[in-house]
Amino acid sequence: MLVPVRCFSCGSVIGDKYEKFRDLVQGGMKEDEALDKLEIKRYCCRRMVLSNFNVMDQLIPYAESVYRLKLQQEED
Amino acid sequence: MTVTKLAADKASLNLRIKGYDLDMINALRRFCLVEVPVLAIDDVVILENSSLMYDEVLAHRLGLIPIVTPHKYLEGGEDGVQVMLVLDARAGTVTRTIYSGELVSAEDREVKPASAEIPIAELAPGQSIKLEAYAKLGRGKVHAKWQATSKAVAKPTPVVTIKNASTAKREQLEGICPVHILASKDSKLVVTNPLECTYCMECEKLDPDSISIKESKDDYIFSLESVGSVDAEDILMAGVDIMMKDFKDLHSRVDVI
Ligand code: SF4
Ligand SMILES: [Zn+2]
Repeated sequence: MLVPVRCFSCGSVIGDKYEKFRDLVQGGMKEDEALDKLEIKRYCCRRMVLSNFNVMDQLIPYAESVYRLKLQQEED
Repeated sequence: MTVTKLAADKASLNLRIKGYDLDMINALRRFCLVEVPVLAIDDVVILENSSLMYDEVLAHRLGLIPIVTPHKYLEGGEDGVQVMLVLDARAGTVTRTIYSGELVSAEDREVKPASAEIPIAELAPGQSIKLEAYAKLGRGKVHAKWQATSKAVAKPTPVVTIKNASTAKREQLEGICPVHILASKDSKLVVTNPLECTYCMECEKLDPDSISIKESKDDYIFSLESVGSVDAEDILMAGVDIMMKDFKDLHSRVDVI
């Protein structure tokens, strides 16, 4: 699914940091530096962000195509 | 007993407490962890949800979002006080993510998510979510979503002693410390900030002749970290107040016997 709201182990909020992390890494920063920059200190929280996989990104295209199909049917 | 503030901001608090028993510091730690009342979403009425996320998952995510808890709830609030927040989101012609910032309360403007950037769900075009969420006052001992802290730790103050300063292993020792508090200065090994030591003991394992790590007695570092619902300093104060109240309660009960 989407990134978890909190760290499973300690309960600190990491949900709001994932997208920033992703953008930093895509911008060419190394993962450990990005985590340090976002002040994610403990390794329980670091693995939450580092190992997250967004399944939603793979599901959304289906919902988008359903929407497009509906638009087409309305046009016909 | 002396207390010194090592570092403090809204999100975290570090205190050095000297001459006080660990038992009492630990009691305080536990009160801060599970007894400080905060608001968290407990009941969700879902009016509309055509997103890809199940109602249950959505409600679970909402529950974990820390909600800013104003002072009036901390002081006079009874467990069970509730504030309604609403979320009404719709995707137009492009896919978008709904963030916690869209969760608003009409009853009390001060009650809002501690961070406005937590993703709640992703909506494909044409999908929508409409719900009422009831934030209730509760305690961490019932559910972790009511914990005001993400860290409440007491550790004995480390005493790092360098016995043999000009050792051949200096460079190795410098490199091995995970918190980088061992450094070379004028070809001697020095400790830059002994309070940061994590007791990993790597340095002592490498060269027991030149360095030793000890825990000091009656001298502790107490650190708190807030999740954002209540400021760290207020958590400590509330923890102390609740602890005192409980002790007074015990006192009056014992008096009756
Ligand atoms: S015990 Fe670990 S953290 Fe402490 S000084 Fe030695 S290497 Fe550093
Ligand atoms: Zn964590």
